[in-house]
Amino acid sequence: MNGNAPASSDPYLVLGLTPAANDEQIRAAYLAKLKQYPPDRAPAEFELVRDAYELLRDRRRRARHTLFSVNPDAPLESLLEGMDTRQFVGPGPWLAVLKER
Amino acid sequence: MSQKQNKKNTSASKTAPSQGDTLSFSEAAARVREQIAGQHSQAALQMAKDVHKRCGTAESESLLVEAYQARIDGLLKLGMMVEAKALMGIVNERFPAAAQRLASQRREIHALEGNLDAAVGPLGDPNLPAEDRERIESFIRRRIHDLPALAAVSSLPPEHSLRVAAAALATAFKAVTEGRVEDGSLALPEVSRRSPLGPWKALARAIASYYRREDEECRKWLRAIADDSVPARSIPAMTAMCGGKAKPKLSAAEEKLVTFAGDHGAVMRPALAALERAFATKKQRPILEAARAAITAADRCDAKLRERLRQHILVRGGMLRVPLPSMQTALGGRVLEDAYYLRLLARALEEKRTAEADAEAAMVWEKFRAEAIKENWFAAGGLEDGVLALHVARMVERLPEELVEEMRDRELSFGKQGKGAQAQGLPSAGMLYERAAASDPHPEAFQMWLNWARKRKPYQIADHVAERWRLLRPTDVQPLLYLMESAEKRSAFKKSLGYLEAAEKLDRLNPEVRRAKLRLLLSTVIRHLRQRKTHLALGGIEQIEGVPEVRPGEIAALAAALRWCMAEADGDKAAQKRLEAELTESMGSVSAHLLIAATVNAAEMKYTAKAPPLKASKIPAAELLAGAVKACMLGEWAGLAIALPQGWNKPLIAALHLPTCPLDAAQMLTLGEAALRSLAPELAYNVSSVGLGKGQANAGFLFLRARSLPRWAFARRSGCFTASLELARRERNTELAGRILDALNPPQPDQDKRLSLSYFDDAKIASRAVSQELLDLILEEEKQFEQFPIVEGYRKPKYAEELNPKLCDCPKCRAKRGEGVDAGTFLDDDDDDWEDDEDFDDDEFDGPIPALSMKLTEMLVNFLGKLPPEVATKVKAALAAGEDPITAIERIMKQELPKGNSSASSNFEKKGRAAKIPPPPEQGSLF
Repeated sequence: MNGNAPASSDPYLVLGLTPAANDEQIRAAYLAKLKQYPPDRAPAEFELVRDAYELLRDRRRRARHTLFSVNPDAPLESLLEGMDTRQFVGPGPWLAVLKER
Repeated sequence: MSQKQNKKNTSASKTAPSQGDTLSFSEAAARVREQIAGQHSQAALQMAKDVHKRCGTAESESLLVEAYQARIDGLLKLGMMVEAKALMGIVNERFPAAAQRLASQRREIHALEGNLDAAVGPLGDPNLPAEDRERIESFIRRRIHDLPALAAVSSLPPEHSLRVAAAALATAFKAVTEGRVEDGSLALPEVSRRSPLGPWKALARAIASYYRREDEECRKWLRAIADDSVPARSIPAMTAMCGGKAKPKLSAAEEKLVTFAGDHGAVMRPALAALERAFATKKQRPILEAARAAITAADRCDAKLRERLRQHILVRGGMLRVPLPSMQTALGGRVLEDAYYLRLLARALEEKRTAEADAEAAMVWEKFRAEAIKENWFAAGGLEDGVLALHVARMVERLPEELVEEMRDRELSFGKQGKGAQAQGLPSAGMLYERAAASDPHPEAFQMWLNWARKRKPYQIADHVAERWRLLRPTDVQPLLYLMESAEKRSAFKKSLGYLEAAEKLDRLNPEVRRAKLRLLLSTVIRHLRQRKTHLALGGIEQIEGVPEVRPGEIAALAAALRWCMAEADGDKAAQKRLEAELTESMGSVSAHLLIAATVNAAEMKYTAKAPPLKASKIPAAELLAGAVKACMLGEWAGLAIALPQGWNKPLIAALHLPTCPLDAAQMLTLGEAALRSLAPELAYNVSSVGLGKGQANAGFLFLRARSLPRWAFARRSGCFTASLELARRERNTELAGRILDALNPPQPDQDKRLSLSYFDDAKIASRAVSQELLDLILEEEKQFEQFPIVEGYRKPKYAEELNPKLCDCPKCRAKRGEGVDAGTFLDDDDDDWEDDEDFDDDEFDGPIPALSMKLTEMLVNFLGKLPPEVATKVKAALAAGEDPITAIERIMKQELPKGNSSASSNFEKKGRAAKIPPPPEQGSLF
């Protein structure tokens, strides 16, 4: 999420968090995103960030999102969103190729 | 080498001297070099040995060394390092002058042994000839792949440019393969363009570009890598990963790199798009083929992603009724039935919006819960557990009773199957509400639980819920108010007062508490008045007078009306006149009349007492309306049912439509409820028209309209109920939503059976999902229906089609329309699809009054038979004209009831009792 504009409506993706984030982490992520997208300079992104925070800070709303937000009719391609299909694998597999003559 | 080959070589070598004897040195040298070029280093070496043996010149020695070099290179290529090193030792020994010529082979052996110090050490000599430097650097470019080792060689000083460059590159390489790195971080000034490690810089940038999805940039950097360098070995794999054409066969290491680091999305996206198109066709064969292709394309991607895809595809296919075994085969086996999958399945079932699917969804949610707790999604008894339980409880509560019974039977038969088979049937709403309240004890959850429990018998069920609420949230007044009400209904007045006192202790100023106190006191006074115990009633009235006012003068007015009844019971006409005058002065003649009439009715004095007469025709319509509303507001607040005289309907309706009508939404709704109670549906309808026109409290006005519409206007009733419930839910108005659901719920088996005249399944309304478009359509159209509907000229609303969509484009519906269905199309063989059930086609009913159900007909016939013939004739005429049966009976009975205490009236009453006239329906059960 480094340097990325908030994408999608998933509040966790917008704030760059995992679903396991606690209240403190949510607030910290929100404040960090506010610095990145201040309302006067990036109003659209700010609104996304704010809506995401409002949803996640309320524990009941957060729970409802966790339980009921999944959309069974969502386009299958949307499952690739947020998942980097180009995986970082470390230097090992690359060096294995470079060692071959 | 085999003995035969040895013999061959020996014979060849034996031949060579003989040939060499004839061949000149130059020809023999050419032959040796041919062998070297043809990669036959052993034969070349043998020939060179023979030539040197024959000639013994410096040239032949040089040729021999050349052959030795080739042989050592050959051994190194075969990985025979020990043999190559031994051979090098022999050459160094025999031909010390040739040591320099074997430098590159020596470096190669050093490198293979990991001895980079020896391989690159000479670079530390500033006097190293340029040619040697170039050879070493070329060696580094072509052979060195261990950058950290190169950065750590001790034969070069730490500040040597090679070591510095190697260290910087090692760090950069690790960074770009482990995470996203921007170009700015890869400037690497330590690595010059001419450095033998230059190609590594290009490789690092290529990898960074790849992960940033800048494929064009990546390809540019790959082109900049020298062909003979170590980094060039990664080009085929990276070309394949960027979607280009790679060499036909990748090595095992290259395959592995592509598998793990490759862009699976680029391969999967087209396959997923094809699968979406197949789903849109709703045909089994294309779906299965496309599913198979999609999973194959996902072969190399992350295992977790692949499993998610399988789960989603299975659920999508299942919702389209593709047989489960076929889907599983296409997906390569069963999917993982973890919490994620079960949640997905439950949501998919909910989207079907049928009662059976909701029931299945409830069961799946229970399975999800068990799995989610196991997988640590949340803790049992935690907030999420509570939220989930509440959600499922509301779903289960809306299910029709017969379906719940059927699912329960299914559960029992399931439970009988062998050991270990766990009955995971439909959970009960009560159990779910209890779990919700225990896990997340907040007022909304308790209120919903209580609303559910109130519909159950015995009363202890609801009382238990209220007690639990009280226990878990001791500062909430709502459970106390409920318990107070419940005790009062059972005539346990002492207990009721006890609860009221407890509520007052918590929050005396709470408007709900004050209202409840007033209602309890009023109820007590009414009871005393019915029993004609005026001395006890007086005490209650004095307590009422002590209750703080909400609107000025109202408490005093209520007390005055009650005193009027007391005076009636005591036969004190003078007191009655005085109180009438007081009331008229404080509330106006209209409100005074209605209040007194209401208290007379409540105290069961209507056959003996008469409210002060009022000629409505002589009162301006606006004043009549204001007075009626005032009385209704007070009655609603105090819990006193205000009845509006039938003769007031027209003037009240006229007053409502005046441009100067000052009523707000709350006042209009109160008036509307009073109209319904007074069996004046046309007045209630007009209230809803004015209210909807003002655009406020649409949910409340639509609910009012739904109950005021004639029974035969099914589509409109359905639409209004649907829209009002949806709006109430969206506004989180649980009180209103509860009232609407109460109005929709069919009577429970153990409840009093009223005249239940629902011609359609109200449970469908309760569970129907409503889109914003449909909501807007209903609201818009209902606003246009300003006039109370009558049979002539009635038109069905346009939104009726949206509420009950006709045949769609699916294969089953196309078949029904007689259209061709393609081969391979699967058909839905589940005949229990509620949505396709056209048993209750609105067209059949939404027109002239339909024939009453057999049961109702029988009851009516019996009833009419016991009435005086002229009265029965009038009732029949009213029914034939389209009037509501209950309304007609009530109206005609009132008209025909003889005035005064006459024998005729007592005879009539006896006949009426014999006819078992049904009691007037209460609000909410009119229809």
